[in-house]
Amino acid sequence: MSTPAASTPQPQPTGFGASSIFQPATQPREQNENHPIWSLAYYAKFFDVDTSQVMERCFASVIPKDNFLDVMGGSPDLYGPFWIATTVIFVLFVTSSVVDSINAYINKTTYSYDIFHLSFAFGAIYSYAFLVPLMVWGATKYFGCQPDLLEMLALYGYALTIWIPVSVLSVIPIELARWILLGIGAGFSGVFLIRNMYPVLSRAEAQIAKIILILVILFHGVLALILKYKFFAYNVGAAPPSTSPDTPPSS
Amino acid sequence: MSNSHNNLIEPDDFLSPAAPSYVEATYSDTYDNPFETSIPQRINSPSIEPDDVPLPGQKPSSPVKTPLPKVSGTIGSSSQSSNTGGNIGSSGIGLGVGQAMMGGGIDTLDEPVSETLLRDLRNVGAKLQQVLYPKGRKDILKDWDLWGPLLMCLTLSIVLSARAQADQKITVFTWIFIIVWMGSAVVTVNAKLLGGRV
Repeated sequence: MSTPAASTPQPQPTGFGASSIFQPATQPREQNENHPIWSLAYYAKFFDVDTSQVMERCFASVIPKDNFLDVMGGSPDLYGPFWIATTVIFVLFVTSSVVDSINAYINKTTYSYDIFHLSFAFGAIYSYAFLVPLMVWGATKYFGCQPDLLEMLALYGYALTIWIPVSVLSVIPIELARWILLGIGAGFSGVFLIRNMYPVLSRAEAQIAKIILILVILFHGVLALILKYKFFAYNVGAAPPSTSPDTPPSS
Repeated sequence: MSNSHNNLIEPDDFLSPAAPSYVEATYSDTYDNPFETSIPQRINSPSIEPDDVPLPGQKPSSPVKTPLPKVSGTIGSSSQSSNTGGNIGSSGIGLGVGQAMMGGGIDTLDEPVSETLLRDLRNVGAKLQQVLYPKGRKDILKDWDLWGPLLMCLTLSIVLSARAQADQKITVFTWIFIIVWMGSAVVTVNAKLLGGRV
């Protein structure tokens, strides 16, 4: 069980026998082997990022100044999208539970968290982070825009970054503040998405590009509204949400 | 020389109704062997053979060590031969068939169930202590087992499920379970993808 693996030059053991303590890889990874698509090593090249790179990309997505593809340096990763989406899910659940708890405290009722918020967040955010880019990629590919699936996934994944601070700040029990925060979140991430997708979209015909753009904006708006009404509904003064998970509290 | 599977009991043999005779009549001084009369029936077991069942062509009660497919070859066949060389850390105890061999070659199969459970629980407790208050031997966690995590996960799930709303108890339990185990799997895959050695 404690087979020493440190002496081998092979940087990336993919077998299950090496079960020594986790050590971060200090050797450069081999990138020129052709791994089969079902092996773990094939996907390792999408995770070739450092912490500093991920932080840089996150900041670049929140403040959409530069061309994100330049920031990524031509090597988009999947680490950011997956972990940012997962973080957004848990942050949404926790902050919406805090919101409901504060409401219950103000109304002097008892409060018990609603686990279906977590289920809902899980479904909504993961579909937005992985299914919507897939659909956009499929549509643009059909219309000849030559998109890159990895770039699409990275764009959508990093675009979710801003929802983390927006969620945390939406604990503020002022309806206007929540709407403003929502607007900022949707606006910044929407601008980020569109600016970086524009080169790809412009390769299609003008009409098609416009339609796809409108659909992208639509999906983004739907996400923002879902987040608002499911998680940050304003119900100070009203009864706390009922335990049935499917009714949005203030619609 | 020693079989690498010497620490394993084959579970289906252990629980099979034709239970093996664990110890010969000459060994035990504290517990009676209720299965002593069923020794000859064990010839048909595919994986574990008692030490004193003669192989075809061999004369019975031979003190020579018979080759055992699943159990370490160094187990002495009776107490008088247990002091011959090659016993794994044995202190002269004759070992029977299907024993869980601890590091000291202690006979663990005749102990009371409470002792077995308590040993594992103490193990889990020691690791938990190391995790919560890290002093002492830090590599105690290398000798990993999954009972501790399972106990923790079940305790957490049950406690949280009991405190959840009435119509959500099942969902809460499910979520905690999924988060703990799938979460560990995801983090492990993540570590492997990032190039770590896990």
